[in-house]
Amino acid sequence: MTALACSLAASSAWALPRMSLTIGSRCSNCHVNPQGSGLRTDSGFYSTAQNGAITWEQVGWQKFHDMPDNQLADGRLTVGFDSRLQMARLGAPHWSDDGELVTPDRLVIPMQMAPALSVKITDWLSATGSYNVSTLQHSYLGQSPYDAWLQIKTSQEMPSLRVGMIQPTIGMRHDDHTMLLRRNPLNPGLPMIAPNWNELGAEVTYEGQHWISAEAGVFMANNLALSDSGAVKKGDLITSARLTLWPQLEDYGLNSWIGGSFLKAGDLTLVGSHIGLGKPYWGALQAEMVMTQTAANRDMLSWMIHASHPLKEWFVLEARYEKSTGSTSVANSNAEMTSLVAGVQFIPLPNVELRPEYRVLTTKDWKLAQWALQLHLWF
Amino acid sequence: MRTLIATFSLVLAALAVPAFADTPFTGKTGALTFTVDSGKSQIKFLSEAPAEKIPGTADGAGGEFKVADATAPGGTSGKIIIPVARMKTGNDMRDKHLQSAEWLNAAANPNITFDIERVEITKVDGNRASGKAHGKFTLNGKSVAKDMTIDIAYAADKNALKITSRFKVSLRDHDIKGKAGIVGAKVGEVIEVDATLYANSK
Repeated sequence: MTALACSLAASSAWALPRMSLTIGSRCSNCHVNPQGSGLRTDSGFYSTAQNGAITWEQVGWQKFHDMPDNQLADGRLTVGFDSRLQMARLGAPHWSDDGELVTPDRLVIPMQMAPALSVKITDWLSATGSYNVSTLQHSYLGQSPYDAWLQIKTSQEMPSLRVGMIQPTIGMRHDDHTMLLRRNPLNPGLPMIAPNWNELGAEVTYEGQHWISAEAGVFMANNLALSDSGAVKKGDLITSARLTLWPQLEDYGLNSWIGGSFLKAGDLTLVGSHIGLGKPYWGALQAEMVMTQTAANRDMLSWMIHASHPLKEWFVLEARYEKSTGSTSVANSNAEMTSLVAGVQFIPLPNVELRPEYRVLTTKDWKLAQWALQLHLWF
Repeated sequence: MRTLIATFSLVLAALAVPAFADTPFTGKTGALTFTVDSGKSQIKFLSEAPAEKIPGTADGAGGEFKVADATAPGGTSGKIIIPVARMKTGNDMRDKHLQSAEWLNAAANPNITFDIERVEITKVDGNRASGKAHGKFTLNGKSVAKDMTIDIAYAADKNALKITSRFKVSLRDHDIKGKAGIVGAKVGEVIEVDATLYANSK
């Protein structure tokens, strides 16, 4: 029930693709994980360290304000954490005996409390991991409480290899796990791909030229078999690949990406595409589409369009529209979900984010419209 | 006698024409002093590295230069000044980083300068000319000799100049090391610069 509640209402940020588009920088420039999300690199730490409506210097925390990076031991250790508290009406509405739609109570839940560490063992070998303590209280079916990997990276020009508990790279890793792109409208209570989904496996990443990136991986299905048990079984092989082009039109100050993804796991085949356009100080426009098909003729199509505009670097307006449709010939059923989210990313102080949102989620049976608020602290 | 005068005139004209043909300042003689239009001039730069391509702009370019003899602009000298604080890369924090001591050290060296020592005109087409500006380029407090390819367009009616130049700047030449592991991976070792300067004569 907790998983159902969370998946229907709460949001949780892991990374911000809009930043990549507006700055024209890949996720790996700011995050240790090349997909984006979680632990920040020294550049990523610095890029947000003094961004806020007021700064730490103005409230007398000069040392924190002047902190140059998040590294210790002469750059051998990179440390960080993400903590998120979500307030929202959690759960699905239901019809009372009187024929009235009853909305669930508003609750406050810890979504993420995840310390993270990366150790540079040699110039070419590093170990990275994080553990989300909040999963001890609640977690989604198929959600991994931790990620951990060894990375071999000899130079920027050469492909790097990650081995461990990592997420197969598909699409863009968005900052909101309630997105319909990873949901199943035929079973709206469960995410088809859980937040912080990780599997044991290996992935090669190529980012040797600024205009192209490519990832390919092989994994053993374990968590995906929990979140999408109808199509994937434990022990099934997962193969995944993503190719992204990053055209930049510097004469117009425009950054963009366009790419496609593929994933095959057991009976599940997933194909996706992503496209985005951004301009510094102007904002970003993104669109993404995911199609899935199973051997049992379960077909799903989900897409979303997302726009963001920074009034200030610390006050960003955001809105997105999503639609997901699904059908299965076995049960002779079909379903549809739409979602409209509008909100603000407000950073009153560096490393402190407030995200008020208005969300409207509609299915064939009910409609839930509500305000939600997330508090995000990070280092 | 008339033939002699005509011949002498033609010889004079023939001698005179090349003198003006070596300059875009057609019809001008003597010294000309130009002031760079800070509001109109535009400088773009591009860092290209495997991980990232960073375009940027540097507004507020100023300075002054003097063409000692409009009929022979080789003796041009002066100084172009670019304030480091006006350099933008599309991200405020990255701009702060750019100005920090690890990079351009704006506190100690607030300006990028080019001291023009002489100009070499290689081609003239009416009020347009191309050639090279020889001088001393100073960045991060360190100067190196530089020859910049230039294209000049002179508007005689306004006594105004448009100068365009594309050149490259090696960070190593100017002792810019940045944070360890960044130059060559995320920031280009050589920065491409595309400058368009507008200047008006006093």
